[in-house]
Amino acid sequence: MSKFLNKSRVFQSFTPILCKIEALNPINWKHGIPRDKTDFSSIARFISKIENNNLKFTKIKNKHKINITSITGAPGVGKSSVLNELINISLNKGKSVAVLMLDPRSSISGGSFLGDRLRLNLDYPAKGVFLRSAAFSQSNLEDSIKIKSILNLFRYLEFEDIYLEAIGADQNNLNFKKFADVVVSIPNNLNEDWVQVLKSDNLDLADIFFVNKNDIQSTEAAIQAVMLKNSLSPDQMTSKKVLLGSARNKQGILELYDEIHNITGEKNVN
Amino acid sequence: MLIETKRNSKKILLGKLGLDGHDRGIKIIINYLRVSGYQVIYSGLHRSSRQIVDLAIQEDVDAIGISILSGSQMEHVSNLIEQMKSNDLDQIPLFIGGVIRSEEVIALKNLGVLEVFGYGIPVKDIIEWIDNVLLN
Repeated sequence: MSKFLNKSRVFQSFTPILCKIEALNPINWKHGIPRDKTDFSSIARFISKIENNNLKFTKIKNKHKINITSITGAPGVGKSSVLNELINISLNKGKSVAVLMLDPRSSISGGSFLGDRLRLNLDYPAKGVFLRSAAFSQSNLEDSIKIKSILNLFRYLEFEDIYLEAIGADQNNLNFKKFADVVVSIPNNLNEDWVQVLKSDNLDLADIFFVNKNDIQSTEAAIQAVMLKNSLSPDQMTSKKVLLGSARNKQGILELYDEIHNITGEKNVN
Repeated sequence: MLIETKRNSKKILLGKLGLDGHDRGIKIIINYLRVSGYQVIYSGLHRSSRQIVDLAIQEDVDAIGISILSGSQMEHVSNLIEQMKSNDLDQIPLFIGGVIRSEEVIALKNLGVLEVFGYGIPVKDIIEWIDNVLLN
């Protein structure tokens, strides 16, 4: 009897969306993939399984295009504050949001302090935003696989806006491009050295440069924006955007949100 | 070279409840746990028990530690344990740190707190206790 019940449940899940099942590893079904994106505790427990049992969650095709936006930048430039405002806009537009926040893993002990949550609005979980922190080490290949699997899970659950907050790395933003559809880079305004700007990998990797802190460092921000624009090659000029704004004053955030969605070709309602 | 240990996969949530801004102690514990290899999540100051429980659900933590130096531990902790029970989190080990009177230690343990670390306890003892609870 119980066998029959299990089969019928599996069959039910197969019928509505066939394309999803094909790409999934059959082993995954034994571990109880969550179906409902509002059931936070089962999503959280499944992510722990991905982290601890090295489960792989392979890429799946969605009916709608789902964008993963990665936010990168040096420590202290305001990644979390910009993210906080972006989540707010997503919520105002009635979208479901999932966020993965990365923090560095100690290279000696392997421990980590996951502190990105401190900058975000406290009421987001109650408003239906799924937030998750994860430890990440650049040299560890397993960590990259885990992060890809978690993002694929968010995609599978059809969260409409998915954000990835990268660790504070500036010069070498490593492989965040491979995790995300759009990479937003927040440059360090106090770095007025054009040599550093040209050396940085950001020029290649980022799709949008959001020059933050236009309220308190307006001169530096303007210089930074001009420096970035002047450094871009003609090809990059057409494909990349440089925006000026301030997360604290909510200035330029809406433009950033629209630009993220323009890049992936999604039309904005509202 | 990083050698993975059992501690690396364990997540510990440290939090401060209510109107209490004394976070020197909890910052020391955060660093000590991180250096020992645990993953530490800190809630920040002035949190409500509902916010702590939301955080524990989303991060799927293995243990919860609360630091209280405001003197209102009985109210906050009983409220937190109630919230944990109603969200099926009561199996998560809960430990408290801070300046707490001995008669309140017994009352807190009766409420469901696993251990209370009072004034002057060496940090090593706390790590040893966490190792015993989470790894054995």
